[in-house]
Amino acid sequence: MADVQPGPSTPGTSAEVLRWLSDGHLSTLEAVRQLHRLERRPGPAGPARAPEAPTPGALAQLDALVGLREVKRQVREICAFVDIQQRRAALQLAVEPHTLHMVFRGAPGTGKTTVARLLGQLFRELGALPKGHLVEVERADLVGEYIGHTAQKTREVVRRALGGVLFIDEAYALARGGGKDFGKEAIDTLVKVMEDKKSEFLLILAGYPREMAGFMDANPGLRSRFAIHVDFPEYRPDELAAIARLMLAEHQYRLASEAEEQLAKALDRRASGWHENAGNARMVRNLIERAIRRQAVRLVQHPGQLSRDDLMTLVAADLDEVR
Amino acid sequence: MRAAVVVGGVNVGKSLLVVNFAAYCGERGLRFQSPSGAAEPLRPWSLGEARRQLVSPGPHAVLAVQGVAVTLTGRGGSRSVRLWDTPGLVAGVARDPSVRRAMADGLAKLAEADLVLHVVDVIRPNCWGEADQAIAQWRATHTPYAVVANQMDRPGAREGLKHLRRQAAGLPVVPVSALTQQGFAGLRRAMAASLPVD
Repeated sequence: MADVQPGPSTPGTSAEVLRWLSDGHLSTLEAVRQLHRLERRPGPAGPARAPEAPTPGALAQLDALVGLREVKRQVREICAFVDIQQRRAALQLAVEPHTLHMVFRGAPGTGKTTVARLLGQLFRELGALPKGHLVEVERADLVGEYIGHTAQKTREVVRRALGGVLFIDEAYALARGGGKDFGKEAIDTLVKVMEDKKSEFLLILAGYPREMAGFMDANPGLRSRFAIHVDFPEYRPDELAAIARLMLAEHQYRLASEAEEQLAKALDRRASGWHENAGNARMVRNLIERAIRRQAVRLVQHPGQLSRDDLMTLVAADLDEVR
Repeated sequence: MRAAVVVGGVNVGKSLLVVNFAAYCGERGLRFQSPSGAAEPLRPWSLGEARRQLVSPGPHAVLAVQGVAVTLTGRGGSRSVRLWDTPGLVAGVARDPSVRRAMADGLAKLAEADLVLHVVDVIRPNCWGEADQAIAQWRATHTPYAVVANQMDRPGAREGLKHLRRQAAGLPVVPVSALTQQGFAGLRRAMAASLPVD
């Protein structure tokens, strides 16, 4: 039997083999051979992969995020722990049976999803998760409409997340709806798969801090399985300004100097707490996107030639508050 | 609980083996469980009901991987094991997506088996196919493995068994009849030898 060389046309992990088989890209016979090959010669994502320091990729991206000092410290701590556990396992030393499922507490737009995605990549780089992809779901993706449907939907979602990160946003929505609601079934199914597939995926429950606390308290089965809690604070005005500058640079825009002041003022005003999106990056994104649209309107009315500079610059008027 | 995964081609008698072997081990009501454990039937099936539900002359009566716990009593004590019935493997690419998915589920279960029971229908010509060989090559090196030669109650079975022993050289072959339960004592012994006492 010819040995198939791993390449882009061959699956890199056993989860991938099974998905290809499921999707009809592999025959059952070929799938069996690929599974055998992967076991004999663990690929880059195989469990026997030599431990190595996380490549700058995901860690550098994490560091590049504005603010989030405590979150970054915690992520580094978790990664160090995973790394050392892997090295210990490689040398047949006792490994701490530690559950790494996490709770992310913070308002929308405080970086939870971004950090979850980076964690998946970091874990993949460390060899702790074969794929490290992020599956982001909410209540509607998990809860079904009739008895048994929820368990089926939830397992399907978990299956998609195997080898990566399952991120459940506003997880407390599962407990909404009272005792007869199927959300309870979703929670029970999750607790069960967390046992069965302990180290095959990383589960992150996310949501507003207060609601998350209430949710975990009401579900002791869940609470006991989450040792790691990461808090995402609201951004300070200066951090929001830094985020704004990054977003602008990304889109190849810049601020005229009076526009800088205008932005700082707008952020200060908004971040003072009364605004529903106070202190979050989504508010900044909305602000920037609106300014970009306004600049466009301003420029099309401009009679003469438009320079590169004109096209890139946002002026104070573009950032004016709509009142 | 240890997992004994029953694999093999379509209609080689896997489901009948699971149900009748569970009965042979003294189980009366069969409570099948899905791999995640969340979707078990609300009540156990009687043996007759289980046979009606799972055993059919057509292909793919079983599209879900499901397991039933049995206790092997024997020398030295009893051993608990869950017998996992899997969808019959077709070597090629199945046209029906649900069958393909079932294949993937079956292989996923096989990958985590503590013990493999590879069922073969000895009265079929060339009963040990390319897929059978590939599965054995994959799983038999690290995991306790038994080739279960089924249909030993049928005429022509002895010749088939001889052929199988030649083809599956190096693997332990246990001749049985899933229908008449002949050979089940040998199967239980073979399983007990590779399972820890409770």
